[in-house]
Amino acid sequence: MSFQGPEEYDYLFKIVLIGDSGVGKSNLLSRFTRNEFNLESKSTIGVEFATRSIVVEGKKLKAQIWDTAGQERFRAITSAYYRGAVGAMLVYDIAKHATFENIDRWLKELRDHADDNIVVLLVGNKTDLRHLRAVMSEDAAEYADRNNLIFIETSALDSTNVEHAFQQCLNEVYKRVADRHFSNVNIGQTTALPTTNLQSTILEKKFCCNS
Amino acid sequence: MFRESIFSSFHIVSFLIDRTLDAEEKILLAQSAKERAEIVDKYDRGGKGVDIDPWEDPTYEVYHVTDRYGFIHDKRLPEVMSTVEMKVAKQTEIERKQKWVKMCSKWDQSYGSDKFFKRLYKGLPEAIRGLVWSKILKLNDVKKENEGVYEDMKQKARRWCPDIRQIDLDVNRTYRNHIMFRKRYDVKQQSLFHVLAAYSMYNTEVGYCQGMSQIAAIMLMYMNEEDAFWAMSQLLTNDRHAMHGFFIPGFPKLIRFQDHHDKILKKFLPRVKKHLTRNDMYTPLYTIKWYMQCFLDRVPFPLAMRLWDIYIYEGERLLVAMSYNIIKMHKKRIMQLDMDHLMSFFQVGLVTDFGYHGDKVIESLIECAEDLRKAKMDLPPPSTDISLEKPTKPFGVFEIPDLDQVIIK
Repeated sequence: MSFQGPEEYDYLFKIVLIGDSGVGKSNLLSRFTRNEFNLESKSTIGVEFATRSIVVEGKKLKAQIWDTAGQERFRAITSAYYRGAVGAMLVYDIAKHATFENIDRWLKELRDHADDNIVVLLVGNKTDLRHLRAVMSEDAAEYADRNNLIFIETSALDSTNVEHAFQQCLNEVYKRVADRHFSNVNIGQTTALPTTNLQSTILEKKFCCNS
Repeated sequence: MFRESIFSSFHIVSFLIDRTLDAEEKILLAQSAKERAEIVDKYDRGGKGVDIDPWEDPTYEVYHVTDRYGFIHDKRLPEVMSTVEMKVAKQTEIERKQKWVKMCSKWDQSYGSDKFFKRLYKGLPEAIRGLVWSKILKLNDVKKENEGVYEDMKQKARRWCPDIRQIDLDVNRTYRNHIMFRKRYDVKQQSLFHVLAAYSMYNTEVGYCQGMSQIAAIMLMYMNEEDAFWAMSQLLTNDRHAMHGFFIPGFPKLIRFQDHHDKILKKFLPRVKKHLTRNDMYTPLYTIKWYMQCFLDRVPFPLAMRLWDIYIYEGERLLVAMSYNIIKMHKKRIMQLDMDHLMSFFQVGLVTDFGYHGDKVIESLIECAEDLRKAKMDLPPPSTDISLEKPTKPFGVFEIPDLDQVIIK
């Protein structure tokens, strides 16, 4: 049996998926990491994660995407995993208005527990349910604008925009890192060295320091 | 129809909380009442005339194959046995069943005997599992003491349950690959919905917590609706299982068990523990379903049922021993995995293929339990404050509702 050790990458970015129960977080994750949609999906208890690497401007970015339980009671457990996250996807269901109304609360969760510079995407999922749409794109776009979020609508079921959403999130994170948007992060040094888990941890930690 | 029930809700709530509701409260209450009535109605109608989205109701395709537990597989059944092996297995199952029928008929003499213990650890025959679980959990006594309570809670839930939306969401995602729970709003989905909703009214401190739906579902695979309700009740609040503390907000018992697991690894498997820690694979990350669901969805179903047979009888010490056993049996493999692979190993790998035959696992489990017993680590130290994990409110008492308690969360 061979050692299944860390693969090579230039950056490790931790992304969190949050939002109300049943909005499709787990299926967004499986669509992006394994190109799968599970009709028989189970509710997520606690936290889980999966990874996928993409290349941006010649750099290999490894996304470690953390999926969280949506039930309020589990926030006590899940919020601990916001630490070190450089991106967040705040997901609601376009067919259920209540899940959009709760975005405010989720945003507050992020403000309370995550890094200040975290890149946040507002993701309206389930666009395949056209006939049941309850949240207008314009309203969500306006909300995103007001709160400095990137807005996108997706369907994990028919895979519309899923790739694009994650790409956009990772691009934005990369841009901020490359532009040294984070003044305390010494990115050049990190990338110059061979990558290991430890290095990525350093990167993440420095990311945190900025808050 | 809705207007009437909303109106009476205002009236009752106003009356109970002893003040007039303001406009906003009335709106929230009306919204909750409407949403609740709509959800309940869908289950009442068994899905007839309800718009079901295709993704909610995976159509039964002919190439699917159902295994002996009722799970539907895409292509062929896993663990295919030869015809001879199958014959032998069938014969053994029949013989075991006969032995259990006999033991059940003289329950008081056989319960807890060496023979009972030995046979239980071999795994209960499918046909008799529900009966033996019910007997161990003393469901008949509990039902007798609580006549009419289930029906009462079920009716109250239709009117007041604040967890109804979450329950509805989770019924839609519980064992949908099992033939019983396949069809949206069908009979067993109705039972699951009612058991969970009723329980949330019965034990208001727990209400409904994600993770409970799988437990209720396996009870419903082996017993009727009312028995499943009382089995839930026993599992959550009897001394042997006391799962109450796993599900209440703050999850105090979960944390206590996870801490203890850490101590066990530190003592018995220090190298593995170091490796896990080095890879940021901390106990809370991989043990939640081990404790909250007694390994459901984390080991293959047939093995999970064997563990449940033992769990029903032994109670919480099974959780401690099996958690240690999993790490011990797989220590070589674990040492070879980094964080990503560890996560997928615990999340997907073990449930797909545990890597050992069921009998081997149980054999090793018994050794683990013995090691822990000798080291006086078979159970975590008790909670410092008993009221943290145990129910403090009476069951099934409909108290003056707080607005919070009836508005859907």
